[in-house]
Amino acid sequence: MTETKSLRPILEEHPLFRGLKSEYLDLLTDCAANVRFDQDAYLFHAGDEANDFFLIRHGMVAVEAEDIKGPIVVETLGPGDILGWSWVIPPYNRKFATRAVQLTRAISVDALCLRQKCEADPKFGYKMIELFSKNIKERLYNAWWQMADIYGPPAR
Amino acid sequence: MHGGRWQTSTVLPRVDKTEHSQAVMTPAPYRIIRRRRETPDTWSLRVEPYDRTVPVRFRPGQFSMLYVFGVGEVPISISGDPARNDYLDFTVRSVGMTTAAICNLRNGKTVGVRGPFGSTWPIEESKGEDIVVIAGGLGLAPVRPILFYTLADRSDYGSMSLLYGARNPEDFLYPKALEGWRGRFDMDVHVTVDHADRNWRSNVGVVTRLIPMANFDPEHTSVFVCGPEIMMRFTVDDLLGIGVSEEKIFISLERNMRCGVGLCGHCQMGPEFICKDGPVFPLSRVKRWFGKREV
Amino acid sequence: MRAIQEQNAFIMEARELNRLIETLAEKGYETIGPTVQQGAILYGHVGSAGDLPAGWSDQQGPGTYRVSENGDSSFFGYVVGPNSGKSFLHPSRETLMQASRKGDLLEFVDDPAPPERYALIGLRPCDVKAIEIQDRVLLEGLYVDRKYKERRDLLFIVTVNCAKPGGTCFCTSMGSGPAADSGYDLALTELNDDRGHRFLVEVGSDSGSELVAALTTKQATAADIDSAGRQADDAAEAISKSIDTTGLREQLYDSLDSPYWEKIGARCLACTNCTMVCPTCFCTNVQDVSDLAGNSAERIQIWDSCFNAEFSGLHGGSVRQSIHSRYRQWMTHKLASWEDQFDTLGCVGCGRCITWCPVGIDITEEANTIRKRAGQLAGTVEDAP
Repeated sequence: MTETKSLRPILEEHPLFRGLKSEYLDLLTDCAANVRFDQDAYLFHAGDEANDFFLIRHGMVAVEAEDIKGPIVVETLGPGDILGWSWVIPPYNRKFATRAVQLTRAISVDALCLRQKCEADPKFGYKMIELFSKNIKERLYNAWWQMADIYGPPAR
Repeated sequence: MHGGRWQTSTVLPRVDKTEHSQAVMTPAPYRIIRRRRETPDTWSLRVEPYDRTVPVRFRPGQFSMLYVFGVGEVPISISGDPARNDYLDFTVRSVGMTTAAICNLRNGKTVGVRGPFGSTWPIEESKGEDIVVIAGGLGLAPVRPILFYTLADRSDYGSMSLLYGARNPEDFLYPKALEGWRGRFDMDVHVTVDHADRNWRSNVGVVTRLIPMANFDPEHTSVFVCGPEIMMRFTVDDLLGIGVSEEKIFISLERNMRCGVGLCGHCQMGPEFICKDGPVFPLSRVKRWFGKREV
Repeated sequence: MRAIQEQNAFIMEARELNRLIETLAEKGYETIGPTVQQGAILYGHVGSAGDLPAGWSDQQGPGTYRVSENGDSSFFGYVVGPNSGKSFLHPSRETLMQASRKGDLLEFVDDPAPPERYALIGLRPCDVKAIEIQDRVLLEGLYVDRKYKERRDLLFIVTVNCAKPGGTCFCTSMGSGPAADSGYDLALTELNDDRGHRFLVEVGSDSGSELVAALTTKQATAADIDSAGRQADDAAEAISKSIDTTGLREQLYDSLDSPYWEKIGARCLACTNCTMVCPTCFCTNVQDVSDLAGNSAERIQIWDSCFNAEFSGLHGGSVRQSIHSRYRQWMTHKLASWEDQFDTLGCVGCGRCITWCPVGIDITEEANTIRKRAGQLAGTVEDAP
């Protein structure tokens, strides 16, 4: 209990949750825990159940897609970033693997715990969906841009 | 005329007009004294004038027209150290007939050089400010002179950041220089790539993702951006979003150029001749046109 | 009515026009004037007044140009043909420099050809204004077009004020006619009435004054001046096309996203005719040519047009892919951004772009339509029933 209490200010400072109502922060804090991953440790693999998401505090995490020739790094996430959307949408399965490129500290939020709270308080649930949608939107725009291969040789 | 027109003449005196009336369309012969492959299709060339008694001068942000005998002429940004007055450095990507011919020129061969032409990054006026340089792909070449210039007088500036995005780790220009900058304690360097395998132990993602990593005060920062237009558009949006003013965001634009001196009409974007009014503009001056389709 | 200063105005008999041409030739000028060629009235070499298109007139409308003989004795009974002073001062093809090679060494030299010394005789006031506009572009900026400057410094201009406008003229909207205010050495008004066939000559420069001194003239009377003034007024009155230029620049800028451009683009063939015949269009491209041995090469400047796809070509494609974006560039340059760049509009209202457009696109109508639609951005444009 003392440990989770101390996470509240960290959640409060996170860009995604800035300005969030105090009672909502309490709900989030109830489901949060401190975690660390050593270099090259996997946070999760593709196909895993999505039982949590992460707020990265320190370090770097690579989002990887498995290819015959080895993993392709789709993007990397760092301090202030949020990692993991699959917990929001059934069937709550991970699509990509994520690996700590270096020692990484994060707050993990228990998805089962949070989903229960969302069900119990649909207003809170809506707020969570809104915040995650915003993040998904930004990342999707970036992904499109990244896909466009703008630095590549010009098309002939 | 438009208000707030940013005059480069406030930086350093423009060359006297009479100097321009003669032979502005006739190149001077320069000899290639060094060439280095940067990426599979990009080469850096160092050239010196036949007449080595003539000092070579340019200001960061300017370009030259490079002519290959019987083939053609193209505008190329000057990417070297503005303090050197004995040679010019260019980085050229082989994308067409003339650029391919330039990239194929060996040491000792001659290239025709006209210029330098165009406006400059306002690094003199930015003294006392934090400096953020954001480059994408080949866009590192036109901003590199900023780094030479500001690092030579490092104490004149606040924090300094270089944010650089490339296609993949093999496509970074000037890897040695990058290494040197990364090793400095008085400068913040972040790089990212669009595509990488596991051996790459740094950022993967678009260059705007590096902005939050840089340490600067948005209200007292000059930002110099160069890269593909789409990259500059996204970057500018994010910079405005964190409170950098449009007067202090500078971009370098690229258009078809034939003369380099505002006479051939090719490089127009709205009221601007990119060659003589630009290529460097404050965002505030060109925002009406920048990013507009087919302008 | 136009103010003509009496002490500056002379009367010259029509037959004296020949002396004027010959005197200019004697002074070393290459005398250029209107001639009937290839079914059009084109500026070309004139050795005497006999080479001028006396008795010829032209009929012009959108996409239409015809010349015919009308039996009149007037030398200047036509309006304007497809070429202008631009063809001589800023020609369609021009050598910029020469390069020669010896081993790895290259040498570059400015094209050494001496400049032509032109006397342009019979230029219309709109074409005189067009030269003033090209001066701003090619002489008065940070950089100077060397060859244009050399020819311009030697130039002698004899303008002839308009008596009857053509079907596509709109010089009155652009402040460039039908009579010339400035920019000439001599301005002629051809008077051909019951008091005889004669020219009212106005002097605009010292070299103009020198030339008049070599000709047989007499001081113009108040009645002559009155006739000339009335002719200009009548010509202005007869002009049917117009563009309202007040606030036009901002309205065009505000209309960049108007769907109406696509309407024009659907008609435009991007044939470049309008830019070729335009007396102010200045855009050029360069060609590199080398000899077969590969020891010498030249850079040649040729006219280009913003209607060409490659005009805005960057590696990987053109900035202006669509024809409508090229038309928008052309029109907004002429009527808006030119003002930002050179403190004048880039149009003199000569009407050539309308006449020589194969599909008859009319810049006056299109500008006025864009104006009316300013601010209307999205949605489909329906044709009026």
